[in-house]
Amino acid sequence: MEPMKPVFTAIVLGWKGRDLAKAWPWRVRFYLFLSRMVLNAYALKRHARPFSLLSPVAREGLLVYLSRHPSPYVRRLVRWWKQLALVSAC
Amino acid sequence: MLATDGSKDVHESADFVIVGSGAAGATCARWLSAAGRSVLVIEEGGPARAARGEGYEASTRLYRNGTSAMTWGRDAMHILQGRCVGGSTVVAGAVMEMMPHDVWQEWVQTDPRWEQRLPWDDLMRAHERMDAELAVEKTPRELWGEGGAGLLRGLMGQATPTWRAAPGCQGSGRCFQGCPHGGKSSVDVTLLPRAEKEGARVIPWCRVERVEIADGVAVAVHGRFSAGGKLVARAKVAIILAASAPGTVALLHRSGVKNVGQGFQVHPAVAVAGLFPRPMSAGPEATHAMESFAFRDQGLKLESVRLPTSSLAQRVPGVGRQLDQRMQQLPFIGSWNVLLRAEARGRVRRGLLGSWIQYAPTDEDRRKLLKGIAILSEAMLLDEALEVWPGVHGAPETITRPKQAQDIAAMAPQAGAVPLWSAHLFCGVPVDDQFQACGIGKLVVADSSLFPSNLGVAPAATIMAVATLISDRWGAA
Ligand SMILES: Cc1cc2nc3c(=O)[nH]c(=O)nc-3n(C[C@H](O)[C@H](O)[C@H](O)COP(=O)(O)OP(=O)(O)OC[C@H]3O[C@@H](n4cnc5c(N)ncnc54)[C@H](O)[C@@H]3O)c2cc1C
Ligand code: SF4
Repeated sequence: MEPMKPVFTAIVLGWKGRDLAKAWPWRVRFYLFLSRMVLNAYALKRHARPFSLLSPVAREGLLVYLSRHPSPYVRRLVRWWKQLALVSAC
Repeated sequence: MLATDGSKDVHESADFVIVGSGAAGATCARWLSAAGRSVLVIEEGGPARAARGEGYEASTRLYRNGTSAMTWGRDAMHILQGRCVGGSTVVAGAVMEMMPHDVWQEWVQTDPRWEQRLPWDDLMRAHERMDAELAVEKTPRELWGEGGAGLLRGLMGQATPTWRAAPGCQGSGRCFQGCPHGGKSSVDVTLLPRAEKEGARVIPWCRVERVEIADGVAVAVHGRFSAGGKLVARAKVAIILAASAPGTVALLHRSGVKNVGQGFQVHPAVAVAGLFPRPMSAGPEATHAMESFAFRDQGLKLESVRLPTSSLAQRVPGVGRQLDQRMQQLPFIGSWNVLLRAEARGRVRRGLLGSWIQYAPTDEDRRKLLKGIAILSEAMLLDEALEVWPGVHGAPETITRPKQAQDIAAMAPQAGAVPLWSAHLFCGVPVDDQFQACGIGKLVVADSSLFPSNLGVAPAATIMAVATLISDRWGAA
């Protein structure tokens, strides 16, 4: 399964996705992997569970929180996931 | 194109070996082959036409890093670059505007040698030659669309139609995914086929890994095909680097050249989107139909933009259900851009995972960008937008009154407050009067890596004019 699926479906409802692993260069996938670790750290901190085990509402709430986070580094992650989710959904 | 599947090792030689087949590389190939020189163009990406599809396919096949490259720093800027035969011209908006005379004067004032390197009259002649070659035209009234006409109204007449290299444009607004109608004069359908007719050879799917330099002179390039084979291409006259800024700098780094990449500059853009009471994508509209230089004294350029769905949706705020609700209104959403002649300088650095860019706008840059966002937001409201999404952290997500727009201009500048992106890049690589880089003989830089500063306008026309002058000199040498 596409490991970004829980994130992308929370951003773009009904995201079906494609076989991203083949298309994105390894560098992009590596950064996506690192960014998922950050997301899971926030999910554990706020909900005591990794992101993929959260309810759809909690996932969305966490992403909204991160998209308004005071740190530009965190906001940029959400912006990046949203861009990739939209590009790969359409 | 060279007939090889890239699985075997290949040895080639030519008078000129050109790295990169975009605006600069294709221009050099065109004029050097017309001058009777043998030319080999090496391109990391594949042929573009096969990939002219929807957003996902276009982004992964036509763009470097699948459109996901970003600079490092708190202001993280999204960098867009083509990676295919034809380079960024395949995905560009086709706007052609020459560098302003005052920017050229600034270059000359900083270093008087620019006057001999790029005499203004010669540059203008080269520019006219390229305009004729690419059939550059003013965007006709029927392709202004709601976005272009709206920008003109919102700025109270202070905007003009763009000049574009798109003589067959049908106003699909899909330039960023490659033109599906072949209406754009991207170099893969213009300059490169003309160069090939004159004998130039294009080698796709081959990434140049380094330039071989012996006794201070460039002699060959070493590349690797995506299918695994190796390429060694020897140049009898010169190697021309046209791998884009910052691609050329990255290649210089890999070739052992030190102290390049400090002068990195960009012409960053910020998008403002709004919801209108009328459909914004009903009729045909060119990707960039209208632009305004009314605020050029503050470094600002404003432009209309028609986007394909996936790109427009990125400009709509929110995630999940909120994004979904807004996406239902997508046909009523319009978007314009503000671009800044930013003064900040960043750096292209070499890292373990390849080259990366360190960049942060100055506070003055950030202030000007906020001003530009405020102007565009007010213009949208004046053009009857129901709500505007300025996309500024710390400002209301939705604004509906001009006063709220003006408040954005008065905000204190903050790192990372606005999402930046750029496709107009410059590097300030030191060159001599023959455009040879860093004191290395026969290693010519022909792309905007050699530009000492940000132009403040769309760069392709200037890149092509400069590459024309460089080819004329080397072709005659
Ligand atoms: C989405 C988008 C829209 C744009 N719109 C406009 C516009 O409307 N007007 C305008 O003036 N400008 C526009 N630009 C910018 C303009 O297209 C570029 O500034 C211009 O094409 C740069 O020319 P170049 O030759 O330096 O690089 P490119 O055109 O980017 O070409 C460089 C080529 O070199 C190849 N390459 C890089 N490294 C290597 C290597 N190691 N080995 C082999 N090949 C390599 C790349 O794959 C690429 O194909 C736009 C750019 C983008 C991305
Ligand atoms: S707006 Fe559409 S038809 Fe016109 S050049 Fe761009 S992609 Fe082609």
